Amino acid sequence: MMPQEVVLLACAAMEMGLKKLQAQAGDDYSRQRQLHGKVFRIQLSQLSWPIYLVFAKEIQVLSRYEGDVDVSLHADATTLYRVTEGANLTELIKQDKLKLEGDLNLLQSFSQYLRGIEFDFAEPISRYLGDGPTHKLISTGQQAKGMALEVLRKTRAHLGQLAVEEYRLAPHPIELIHFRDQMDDLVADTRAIEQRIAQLRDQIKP
Amino acid sequence: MSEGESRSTHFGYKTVEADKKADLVAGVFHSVAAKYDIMNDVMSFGIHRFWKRYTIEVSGARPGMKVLDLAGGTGDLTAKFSHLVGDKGEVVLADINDSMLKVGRTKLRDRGIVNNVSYVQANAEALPFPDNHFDIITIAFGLRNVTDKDAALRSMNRVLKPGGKLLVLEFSKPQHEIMRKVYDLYSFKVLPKMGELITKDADSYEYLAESIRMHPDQDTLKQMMVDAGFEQVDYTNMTDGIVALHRGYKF
Repeated sequence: MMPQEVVLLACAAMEMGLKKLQAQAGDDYSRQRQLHGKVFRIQLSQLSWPIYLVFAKEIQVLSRYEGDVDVSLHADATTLYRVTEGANLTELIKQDKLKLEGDLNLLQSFSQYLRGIEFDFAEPISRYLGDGPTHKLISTGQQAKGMALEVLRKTRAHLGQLAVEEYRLAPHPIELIHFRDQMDDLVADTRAIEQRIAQLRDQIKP
Repeated sequence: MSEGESRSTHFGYKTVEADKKADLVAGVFHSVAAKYDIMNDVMSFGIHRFWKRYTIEVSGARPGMKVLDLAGGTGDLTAKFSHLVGDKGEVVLADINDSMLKVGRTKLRDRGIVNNVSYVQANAEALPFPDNHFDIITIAFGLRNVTDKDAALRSMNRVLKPGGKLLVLEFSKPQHEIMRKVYDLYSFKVLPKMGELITKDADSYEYLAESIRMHPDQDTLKQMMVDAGFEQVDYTNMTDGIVALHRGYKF
């Protein structure tokens, strides 16, 4: 029973997530008319069971389904993530990362739908905190994120300088270019000698 | 069991006249209808959602099917079925208790589930539907409260299409002694107190605990379904048998 319960819990969690997204997206989902009434079967290589997405008024997530399936998809989780991020489907299919049976357009419109949703954290939080504090919280969060990124960028630059200038562990970019130029020269010289040797050999041989 | 010949039946641990049981059960559900959902979540720690979700998956509902959600109460299963059978399908939410039916209808309408759901107040023992009408019948936590369970099962068999299936989700007998002890302690000591706190109605929840104990165990119910004419009857225990899902087909 244990794995069965895990499966059910996972399906329930996905369904909740999709429902929240749907609520966020307003009527985006209703606009994806061609999806309605369709059934996707997604088999992730990491999971032992398939996931069925039934596009009803609310998207239903099941682990078993006996009806007809419109799109059947076989991929690993990272590929699927790239699909939701809008990667080129035909390219993925060509690389054999994605096995697809059924209508490609349906998958594309689902991927488009997922990409179109921008999750707005402020909306659900504001219901509990009120508008003012939420705005404060979100903008502070954004500032903190900006500051953290800036610190990260500075640290990286600083470490680079330290390695190149101070301890001379790594070469300076100009040194590297100079080295590559020397390498090119060396390659050209070697080729010239090679040719010269070949010529001389031809002369020796009658 | 005492129902049938002696014209008396059990109401929890009490013995009452058979024709009174329906009214007594009705009394219980009239009094809990308004807070039924919240009580379900609190009492089962939300596990009832698992049980129902599993039932939905086993049902194999698909677009165009006709589904009867018997004793559907506040419509948890109906909502799911409504999504799965689509516009071409049909879901009938039937309950003997009009309070529960009203709560269910209001809830579903508020969630925008209207087009393929209809509501019928019906007694499971004499279902007001034509023969061979439904693809799936579910009765979740309802069979326990029916006075004549055999008649109810026969009636369900009648309205089911050949090839259709019946799913009975009902409390049953825990499989291990420890679980049984914990479960007894919980349902006889804790539950009525919780009922008192939340719905100010300890008696109804005492009835709940007692009626669960009086309900036939897994194998007895399986035999009852076979006797009523169902085939390929099997059951799955959930949460160590506190709840069992029985499945039977009509061919």
